[in-house]
Amino acid sequence: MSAIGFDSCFYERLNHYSKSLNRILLASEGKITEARDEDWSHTLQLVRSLSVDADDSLSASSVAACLVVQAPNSMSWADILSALEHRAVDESFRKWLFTLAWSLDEQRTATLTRMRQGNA
Amino acid sequence: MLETYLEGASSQLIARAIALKGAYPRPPKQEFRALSENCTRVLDRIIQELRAGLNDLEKGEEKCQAVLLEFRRLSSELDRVENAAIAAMSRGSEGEAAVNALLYQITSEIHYPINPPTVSLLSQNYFYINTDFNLLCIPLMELHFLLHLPDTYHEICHPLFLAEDDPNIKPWKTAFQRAQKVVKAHFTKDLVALKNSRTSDSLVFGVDVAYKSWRARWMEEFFCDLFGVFCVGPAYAWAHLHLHAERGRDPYRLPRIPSNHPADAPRMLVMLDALTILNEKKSAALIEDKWNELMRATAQKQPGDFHRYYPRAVLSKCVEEAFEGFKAMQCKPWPGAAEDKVRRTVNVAWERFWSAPASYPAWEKENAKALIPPKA
Repeated sequence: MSAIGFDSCFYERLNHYSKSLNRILLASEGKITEARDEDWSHTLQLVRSLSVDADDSLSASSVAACLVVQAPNSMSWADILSALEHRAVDESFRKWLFTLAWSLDEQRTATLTRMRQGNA
Repeated sequence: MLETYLEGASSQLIARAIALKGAYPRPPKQEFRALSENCTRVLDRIIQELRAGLNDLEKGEEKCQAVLLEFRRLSSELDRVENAAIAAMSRGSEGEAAVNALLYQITSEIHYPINPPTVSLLSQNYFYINTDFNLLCIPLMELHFLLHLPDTYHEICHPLFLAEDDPNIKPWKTAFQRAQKVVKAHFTKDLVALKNSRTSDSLVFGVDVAYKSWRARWMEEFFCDLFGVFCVGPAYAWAHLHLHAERGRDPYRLPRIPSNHPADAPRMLVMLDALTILNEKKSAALIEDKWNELMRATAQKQPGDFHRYYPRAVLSKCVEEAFEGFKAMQCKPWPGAAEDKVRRTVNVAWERFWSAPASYPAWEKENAKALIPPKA
């Protein structure tokens, strides 16, 4: 399989997690767009993989392995997971979620660029 | 500024998505029916989500950040529809009905557990699959040749990893997860040991990169190779040797940054193990000999730290688990039934290739043609 093929699989995974996280961020800002249950569960899955190297989801662990995102100074991974479980997004947590969202965006954009060039 | 920009750019993107709906042939050709329906569905969703984004716009840059993120995501999705899916349909060629019929035959022989992908002959970059559209791309002339055809089996394995909540696929994914646990346990332990020893930082860094590559991409690639061997037997490993001889890079490459694909030598190792599981020991020995000959001819040698990047026990575990998953998925392993024309023909092709290389092209021409189902 050429690398471009793998990138299309990877693009789809990045898109999947981006979409859910974006919806959570939109909803947390009081926009019309609402986050769904699946958005919370996808994001939780990704953050779990980021935090404890979890193996429960192929997609999440594959995406997490490519992201360079640290927990914020003010929160531990356990705090972050708890906030997601309780769907409690305060100002500082929202900032961290934006960092994660931009990191996904960066990876997705890079993946798409490689696919366009066909020489990943 | 940002909300004004997003208002204009989103409106323009909506217009583009609407225009794209008129840019592909409808009614579609039979072979593109599923792809066409998928495109329409995705375009409708993109339009709907862009409109929702417009409704979400508020004054102030801070407030627009999430809308901007979502706009960028939708813009890239539209790119995919236009450049991957619609391009395939609007530049379709005569051979596509034939190649789609051939893929149907391939998937029927192995009892492929999900819907087969649509095939396009638009690839400029060997075989690859766009999993977001379940669109397999192969080079234009590939339909008339047999030696690389086994790589199709690798490609059609990728969508199995993306299928959600599908009982047919569960055993495969469960097997993958079991192997994943072995990878995790091995590298976690090895990295701790390396960090506590007098090993160079460079090796620790390299093994860490290898672990990241295993998690992100290599595991899946190994499993797709194994799926290929279980489906089509020796022909898959021969095709790997062929691909490496034609265009492969360092077969023992040890990455310094997380890499897309494992190196070719460890891929061959798992293929040979898989052939042994399939009772193809003789073929495995023959392929191994030719592979070693190729390595010698190109002066390639296994580097000292190779086993740390590609631990033998981990590779073996992948083979074992993948075979369990394959069988539990009710897929039909090689050699399958006597009437399995495609997988038998590609194996005979490789036998002919080695036994009578000079006359092989003429034989291939006849037999590749004979594989195409009459209706196509």
